[in-house]
Amino acid sequence: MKIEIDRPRCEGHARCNAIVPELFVLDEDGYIDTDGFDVPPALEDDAEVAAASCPERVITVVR
Amino acid sequence: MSYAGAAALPEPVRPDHVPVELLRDFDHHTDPEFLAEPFEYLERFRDQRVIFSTAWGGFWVPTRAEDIREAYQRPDVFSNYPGGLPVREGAPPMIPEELDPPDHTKYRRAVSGMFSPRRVKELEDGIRKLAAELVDEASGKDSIDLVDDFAVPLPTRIFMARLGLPLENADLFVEWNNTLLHALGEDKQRANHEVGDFLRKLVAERAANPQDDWISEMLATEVDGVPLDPDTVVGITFLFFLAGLETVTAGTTFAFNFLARSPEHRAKLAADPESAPKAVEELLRYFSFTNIARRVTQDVHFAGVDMRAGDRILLCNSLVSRSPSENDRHDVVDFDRAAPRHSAFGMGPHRCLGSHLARLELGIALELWHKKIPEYTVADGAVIDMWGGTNMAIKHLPLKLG
Repeated sequence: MKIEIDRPRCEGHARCNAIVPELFVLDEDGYIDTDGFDVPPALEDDAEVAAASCPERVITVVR
Repeated sequence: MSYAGAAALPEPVRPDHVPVELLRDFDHHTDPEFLAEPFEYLERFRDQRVIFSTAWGGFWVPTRAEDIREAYQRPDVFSNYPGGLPVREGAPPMIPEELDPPDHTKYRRAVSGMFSPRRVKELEDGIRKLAAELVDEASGKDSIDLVDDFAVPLPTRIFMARLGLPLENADLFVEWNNTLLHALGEDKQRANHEVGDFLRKLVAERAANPQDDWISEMLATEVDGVPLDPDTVVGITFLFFLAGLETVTAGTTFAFNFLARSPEHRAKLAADPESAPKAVEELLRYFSFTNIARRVTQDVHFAGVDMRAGDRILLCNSLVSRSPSENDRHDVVDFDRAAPRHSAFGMGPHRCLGSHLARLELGIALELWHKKIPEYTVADGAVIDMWGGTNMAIKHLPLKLG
């Protein structure tokens, strides 16, 4: 499972980071600091929840 | 504070370009029917994709979450300047709130670091101390007004501490805040000028003698290699003042008004006070109490209608947060919800800068309160009266404790 993030459209709600801080890393200003990543199997459920929590809907789960 | 300055409401408008079947007599400032149950009232618009209110000069209200999200995300078409509905006048421009990208982006980035989740976390111990004092004071009583005795003093004290101000000014701050947010007309103009004068003096003092506070930090912050000038810092602080106090008060009060009436949710929180941040997220979703105005900058086909340049549009966050498209079981308050998706803090580039601070304050408030005061109810015969407008808020919430 992969996560893709439409990074320029991140507005810093940081809901994803609140759920899986080790994957959804933030920059100094509190905005997402990654365009995406492979999700370790153990964190797939949490990553999916984190993606769903984005109010801007800029996080996509790719299988 | 009063609506005295607005004794005559503006005449209803019915612009030619608005389809007649979309016209509604919707006044989110003063209509008693709306103020009695604002969140439920808004739901009645959902059978239309958009309605047009004839009140306050006229404004569109889109009802679908995806349309509201798009409006927030297109600041070139839906501008944030000038703000307010009716339009705010006589105040220093609020920065970065009333700027649009690209200017907005520069100033926003300059101050967003101060409110990042990491920086906000550093304020936790101080906030816990202030909140614990207020909970201790309340726990010794049989009854309190949650608003005057808890929900107002908490964010006010936190804010004043971050501005390095002595607490004896607190009453004045509370009065200014109430007037700026809820009065219309002359009272509001007067308060705008008083707060502007106060902040200009304070910023000048901090420029001469920097301290460990927000204003001093902003004065040392650079945009395009140039330090923020004092007038800009006044504008930003004015926005913090307006956006940071009553919103937390309102969020706290809506939460307690619900909890005081729901033994099941109250017991859940009392049994596990550390779960407060999850409860806060769900309560913010269910009570998304802000209604945000934008100005349409160009003729545009949007939400199925033709909007004209100069039209105003109101983005009611509750219509996102309670939308069936955003969450399963959208009409149920569930503290165990894995990921409540909501727009309590708005969306797009103007997403509430202080959202992480607000979450922390609300979480600490609910945690410490329920550790010490697990049992409380709304006082017998209490009538809940509400402020409308941009920030909906409960005026007073008499609680019986124990």
